[in-house]
Amino acid sequence: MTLRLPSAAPLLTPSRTAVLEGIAGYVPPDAVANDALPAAWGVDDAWVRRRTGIGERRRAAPGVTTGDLALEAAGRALSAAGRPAVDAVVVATSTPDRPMPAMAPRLATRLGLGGPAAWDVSAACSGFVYGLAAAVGALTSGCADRVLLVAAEVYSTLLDPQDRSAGILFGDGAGAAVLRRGAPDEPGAVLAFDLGSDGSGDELIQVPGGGALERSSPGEFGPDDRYFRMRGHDVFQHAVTRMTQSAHTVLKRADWAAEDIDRFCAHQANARILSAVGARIPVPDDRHVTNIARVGNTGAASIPLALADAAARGELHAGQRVLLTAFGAGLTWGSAALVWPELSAASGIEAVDPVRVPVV
Amino acid sequence: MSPVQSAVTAVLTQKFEVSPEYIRPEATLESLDLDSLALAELALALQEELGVPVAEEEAARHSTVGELVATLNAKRA
Repeated sequence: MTLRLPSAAPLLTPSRTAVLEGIAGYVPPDAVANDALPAAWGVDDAWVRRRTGIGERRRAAPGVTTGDLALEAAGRALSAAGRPAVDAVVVATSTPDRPMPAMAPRLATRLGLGGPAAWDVSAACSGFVYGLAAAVGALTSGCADRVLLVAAEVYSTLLDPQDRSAGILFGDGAGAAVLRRGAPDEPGAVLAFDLGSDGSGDELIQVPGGGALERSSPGEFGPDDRYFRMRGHDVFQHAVTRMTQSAHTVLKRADWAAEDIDRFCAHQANARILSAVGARIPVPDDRHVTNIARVGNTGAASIPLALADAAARGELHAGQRVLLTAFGAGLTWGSAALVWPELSAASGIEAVDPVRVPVV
Repeated sequence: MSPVQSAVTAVLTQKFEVSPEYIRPEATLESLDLDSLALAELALALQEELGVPVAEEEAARHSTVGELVATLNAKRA
C-alpha cells in the first residue's frame, strides 16, 4: 500500500520553512562554442541550436574538479548572503570527485566553516530541488539554523568522446544557495514541494559501471561502461510528462494557479523540453528563467545557475512567485514553489571580481 | 478523415509547421523534417491527444504517415 498525501495538502507546516538569503553561480572560463565541437560529430551551430537551444557550454580545465567549482559558487553565495554562520552543508551532484567520501565535508573545510553537518544528495539533475527539500527538513527539524546548498557538476569528463548526443548538451558549472529558518510569509520563503521517482526507468539515464554492480560481475562490464549514457527519446517523454505533472502538483500545494507563476525556472535540460513543459503547464515564454544557450545542461547545477544569472541581470524581483521544476536520472523529479527575496547581490556566469574564500 | 488521421495532421501542421500538402500517406517522418527529438515530441503529443501509448519504433524516422495512422488506428480499435 502506498501512503500519499492528498495532492492539495500543504506539505510544509505553516509556521516554519526555509528562506533564501543568497544565491550565486560559477562556470569555468573555457567556453566551447558549437563550431568548436569535434568535427567527427558532423554538426554545425544552426543544427545544435535548433535541436537543443545551446550555443556554447563551459568545460573545466584539466585538474579542475567538481569540488573546485562547488567551492567557487559556495564562496560567492556566502558573500552574497553577508557571510553568515552556516551549520549545515549539502552538496547535490552526480559527478562527485570520488565515490567516497561525500563532497560536502571537504567543501565545508575548504570554506573554513568549522565542523558543520555535511552530506551529499544524489538525485542527478533533480539534485537541487531534492537538496532544497533536505535543507528545509534540516531547518524545520531544528538540525540546523542555516544551510549552504551547493549543486556542482563536471560532466565533461564523464562523457564518451564519441557520444555526440550527450556531448552537445552537457556543460560544467555550479550554483549555490544560502537558506535560513524563517516564516512562510517572508520574501524568500519556500512554500511547497513535490518530489517523486520511478526506478523502473533507472537505465534510461545512467553510468552503468564503476559501482558495486561492476565489481560484483567485472566480466560483464567494459571501459565504455564508465561513461554517461542516456536514451534521449524515452527521456524526452518522461521529462515532459513528469515535470508537467510535478509542476501541477506543487501549484496545488502552494494554492497557486498557473497564471500566478511570475517566473518559471526548470532544469535546463534542453530548450525543446523546456518549451514543451512550459506549453503544458502553461507558462508563457517570457516568464521562463533560462540560460541554457550559454551554459548547456549543467545537471543539478542548472537551476541555481539559471536563477543566479537571472538575478544578476536584474530579471528576478522581490515578491515574485517562482516555480522550480526538475527531472533527472533515477528517474527522479521534483518541484518547489518559493517567493523571491530581496537580495543584495548575485553573481551569475558573467565575470565577477574573484571572491576571496579561505582555501584550506 | 478518421480521428487518428486528423490528430496526426493537426499535430504535424500546428506543432511542427509542416505544410498540409506534404502530409501524404507515403511521406516518411524524416522527409517532413522531423529530427529524433521532434519524433519524441510527436509521439508524446499523439499519446496525449489519442490516449494510447506510442512507442519509439512506431513513430520513427523511416515510418510513413500512412503506417503511423494505421498503427494508431489498430491500437484504438
